Amino acid sequence: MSLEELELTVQVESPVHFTSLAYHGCNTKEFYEAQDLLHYFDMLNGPTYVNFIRHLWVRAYVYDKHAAKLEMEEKVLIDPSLAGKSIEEMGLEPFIDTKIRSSIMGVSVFISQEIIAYVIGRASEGSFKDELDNNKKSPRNEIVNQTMYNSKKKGAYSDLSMEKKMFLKIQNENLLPKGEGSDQPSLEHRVFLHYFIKKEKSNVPKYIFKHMIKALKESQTIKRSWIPYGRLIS
Amino acid sequence: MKALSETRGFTDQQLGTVTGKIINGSTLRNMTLIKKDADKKLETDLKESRTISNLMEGFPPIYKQDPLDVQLYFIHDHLQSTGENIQLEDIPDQMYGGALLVAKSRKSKRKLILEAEYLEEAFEQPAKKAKKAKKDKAAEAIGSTLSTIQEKVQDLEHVKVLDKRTRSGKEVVPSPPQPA
Repeated sequence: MSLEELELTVQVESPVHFTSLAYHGCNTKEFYEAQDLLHYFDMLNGPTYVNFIRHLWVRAYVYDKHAAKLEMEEKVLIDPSLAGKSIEEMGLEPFIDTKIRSSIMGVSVFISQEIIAYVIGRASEGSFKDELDNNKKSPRNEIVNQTMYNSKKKGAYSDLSMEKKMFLKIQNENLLPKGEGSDQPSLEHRVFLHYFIKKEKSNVPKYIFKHMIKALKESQTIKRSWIPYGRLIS
Repeated sequence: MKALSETRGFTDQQLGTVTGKIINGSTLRNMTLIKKDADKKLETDLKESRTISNLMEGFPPIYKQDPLDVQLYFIHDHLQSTGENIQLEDIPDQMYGGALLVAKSRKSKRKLILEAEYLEEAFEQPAKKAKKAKKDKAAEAIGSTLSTIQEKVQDLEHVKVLDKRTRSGKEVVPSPPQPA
C-alpha cells in the first residue's frame, strides 16, 4: 500500500442508545433484535485504538484463491523442484477461506467472515446479495423502493419516515459504513436496509467482511485514505 | 490486544484511543426529526466518558505529574499485590482511565496530521518540540564541525596545501610551494 499510516482516517462506529430513541418516538430496537445484533451494538460502546488500526491497515492484504495461487507460483520460481507439489508440501498454509491478513508489531493477525461472526455474536447465515451495481433497470429496485419509500420509484431522503431515516443513519455509521459523501443509498445499501425493515434475516457478517475487503482494495488501488469498522477491528 | 496489555508499554495517547459518538435523542434533534425542545436527557443515557479502555487493566491510578515518592509507593504496592513490576518510564503522562476522546463524525473535514504529531512520543506541542530538537541538533553539529575544522587548520603546516577538486571529480596533485 502506498498510503502512509498518518494519511489514514478511521471511521469509528457510533453506539446506539435504543431506549433514548424509543423515548423520543423512534423505536428501532426490535428490528436489530430480529437480526441478532444487540450484542454487536453493546460491543460498539468501547474503545477504538486508531493508531493501532492504521498500523494494521497499511500492512493488510486480501488472501484469497488468487493470492494463494500466486504464492505457490512464487515458491516454484524460487525452487523449481517444488513444481507439481501440494500447498502443504511447499510449506505454505492451505487455503481454506478468504481472509484479510496483516501483522501488528510482527505478530500476524487475520480477519475472516467467521471471526467477524464470532465477534459480533451471531451466526454467519441469512440472505446475501452481492455485486449489485446501481442498475436502474434491476427488478430489485421496485421491491426495495416499495419498502423504503412506499412507491415503485426511488424517492428522496425527505420522503423517508423518521424510523427509516434512523435505519439509514445506523447503517451508514455501523453496518455498511460510507465514509464521507452523501446519504443517498446505493442499491446494495437499499437491499440491505430492506432486509432489516422486513425483518428478513440477512448475512450481516458476510456483508461486513465483503465491505471491509472492498474498502481495503480501494485503499490499495485508488488510495482511498479511509478505514471502516474502527471499533470492530479493535 | 491481550498481548499489548501484557506489555504495559502502550498508553491510550500512543494508540490514539477514542470512542464513538452515541446515537440517541440528541441525534434525532440534530437530524431535525424531533423539535428542539422535545429532546430530553434521560438518567439512563449512555455517556461516551463511561467507556473505559481495556488496554491496561488494573493499572494503578498514577501519572507522571504525581510526586516521585507517590509513584514509587504505588509501584511498590502494585508489585507486592500482583507481582508485576512497573517501570517509571511506563507511567503515562496523563491519568490513565480518564475520559476517552470522542471520535469525530464521518462527515467532519479531515485534518491533515503532521508526521511529528503522529509520532508516539509527541503529546505536547509536537511540532515545536521537534523543531527545537532539530535546531539544537543542527547547532550542536555545526559547533562540533567548526571546532574540528579549527583544530585541523591549526594542525596544518604552512607548506602543505589543501587538495583541490576539479569539475570532473578528479583530485589534483597539490602543487609545491613556489619559491619567492
